[in-house]
Amino acid sequence: MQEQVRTAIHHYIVSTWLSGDERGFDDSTDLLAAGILDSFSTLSITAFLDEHFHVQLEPADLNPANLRNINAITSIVLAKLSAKGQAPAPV
Amino acid sequence: MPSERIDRLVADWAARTPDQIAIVGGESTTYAELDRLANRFAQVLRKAGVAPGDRVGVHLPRSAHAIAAMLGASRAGAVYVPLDPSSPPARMQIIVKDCGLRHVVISPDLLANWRAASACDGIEHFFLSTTATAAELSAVVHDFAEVEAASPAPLPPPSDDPDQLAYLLYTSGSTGTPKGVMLSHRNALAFTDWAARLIALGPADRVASVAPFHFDLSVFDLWATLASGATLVVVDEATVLSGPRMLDRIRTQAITVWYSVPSALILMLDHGDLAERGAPSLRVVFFAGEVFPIKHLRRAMAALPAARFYNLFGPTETNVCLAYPVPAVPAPEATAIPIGRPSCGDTVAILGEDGRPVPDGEVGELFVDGPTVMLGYWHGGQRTAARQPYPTGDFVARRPDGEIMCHGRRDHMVKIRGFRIELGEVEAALAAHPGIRETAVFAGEGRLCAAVLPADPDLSVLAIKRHAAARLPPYMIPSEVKILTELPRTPSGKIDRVRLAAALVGGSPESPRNALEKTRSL
Repeated sequence: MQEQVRTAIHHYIVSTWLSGDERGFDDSTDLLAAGILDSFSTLSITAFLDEHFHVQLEPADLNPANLRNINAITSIVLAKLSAKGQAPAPV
Repeated sequence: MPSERIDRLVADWAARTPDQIAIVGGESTTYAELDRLANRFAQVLRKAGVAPGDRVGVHLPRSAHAIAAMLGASRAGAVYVPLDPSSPPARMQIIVKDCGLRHVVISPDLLANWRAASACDGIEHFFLSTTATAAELSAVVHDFAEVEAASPAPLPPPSDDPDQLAYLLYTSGSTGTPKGVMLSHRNALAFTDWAARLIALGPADRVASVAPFHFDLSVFDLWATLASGATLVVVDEATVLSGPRMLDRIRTQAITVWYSVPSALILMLDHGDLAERGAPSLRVVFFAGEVFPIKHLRRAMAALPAARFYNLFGPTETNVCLAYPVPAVPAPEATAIPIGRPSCGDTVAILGEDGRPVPDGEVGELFVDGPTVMLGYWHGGQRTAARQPYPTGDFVARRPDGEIMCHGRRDHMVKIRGFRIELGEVEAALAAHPGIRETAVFAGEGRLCAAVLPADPDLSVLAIKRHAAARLPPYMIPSEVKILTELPRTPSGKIDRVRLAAALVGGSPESPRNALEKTRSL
């Protein structure tokens, strides 16, 4: 599951914000210093996570620490998915 | 009798309605508190050697402290320079050098960025907006406690002259460095007084502050609101960019007046359920900065049936010079709305290439004369007086009913989410990378695209983006970067921008020349 999430986010970031050029980019690359993360791309990343994983990031989640690199984004998505899994299904 | 200078605003209301809330944003600030804090800033700035005419930088997130700092600088006779909190320190350093900033009011976080980037050259005094541990710097760092301890008594008014320089707004510059638009007290207040009268702005109004302070839309929010005894509701950046939260804020804060670029409204329509939920408190919607796509304007007007919509138009150099009150939801066959008629006491002329007025219906360049036209530019350390009447670079045509329509730009200036960008500035910043031989930047579908011819085959998109992020504000970083092995050329060897744009962004934006030919053949 973790690898699936990581790969999907990696692919999305590389194709959307790096024109598909992976050179030099890895899962610990700082997205802010890479000119990828700003208030506008945050919206787009949020929408992607919602669409692909049905994970809704709350305003409080949208701090630079949670989105600083792919590892961090993967962690928060996994945390949200596992919280969902443990919650009783909606009636 | 309206005030004629920015430094005179607020004091009257502080005397008449001291407990009225002037600013909401985190904590609330009353008119009396704002007046005293502005005086305190004026006192500490003066004590630190700020003389009339000196420039004072304000590098803070939008907040009551930022507003008090700008007002205080003005009361000390200084010229305030709002600096973009999202821009990297390297760009701030260009502005510091350009206008000789020696005094900057700044938050501890942003000062830490300046220090980390070694971008503090030239600054003699920093004034912190909150109390923090003083940093080790060659400049004197004044803690906020020093501002709070200063006398709240007003300094003697610096001048009676409304034509003095009041503030500098740095915009993107085509030669590669930002340039400062010099605006006088009269320039600002001719617009804000006009707008306040137009909508009968008064103490019962609650005006949203969503535009950045280095962006000219904020001039209305700040000075029209505070000249009218109304309340300014400062909305943080994260909320502005979240449709649902922004709409919640409008509803809970009972915002009555809104001024933004269209994209901020479209966000609430697309993601905030504006159409379903509405915002009954809103009575006025001003929009400016970019074309409002008409299908979205129809949705916005349908969602806010009680609000009056106004299209305001003008580059930073002329503040607002044209206005169009949208009379009703545009008809299904309408494809664009006018930019309207002259406002704020300005007069306009539409001139052809021969410098003579063109007949109605034909496209010419818009020239503006009047009280909102800037004093000139501060650029490369030099001041240049503005041409009067001022050529805006916008191609326009007057309709038979007198309303003016916009037909594009004569230069390489584009708007991304309302931010004005000179493509030349982005190209110059990218070209400073040693691995880039040549580059051309285009705008298409609301994003920037850079075509790069590398000098080094190992040059990656990531390296180019990192380089850009260290030099440019986020809205100027190309979303898309294409590394190419060759660039299309014109017969004279220049980059063929038309062919390149067509290949990269799926068709070039309509050139003004084409627009000219099209309207002439109608």
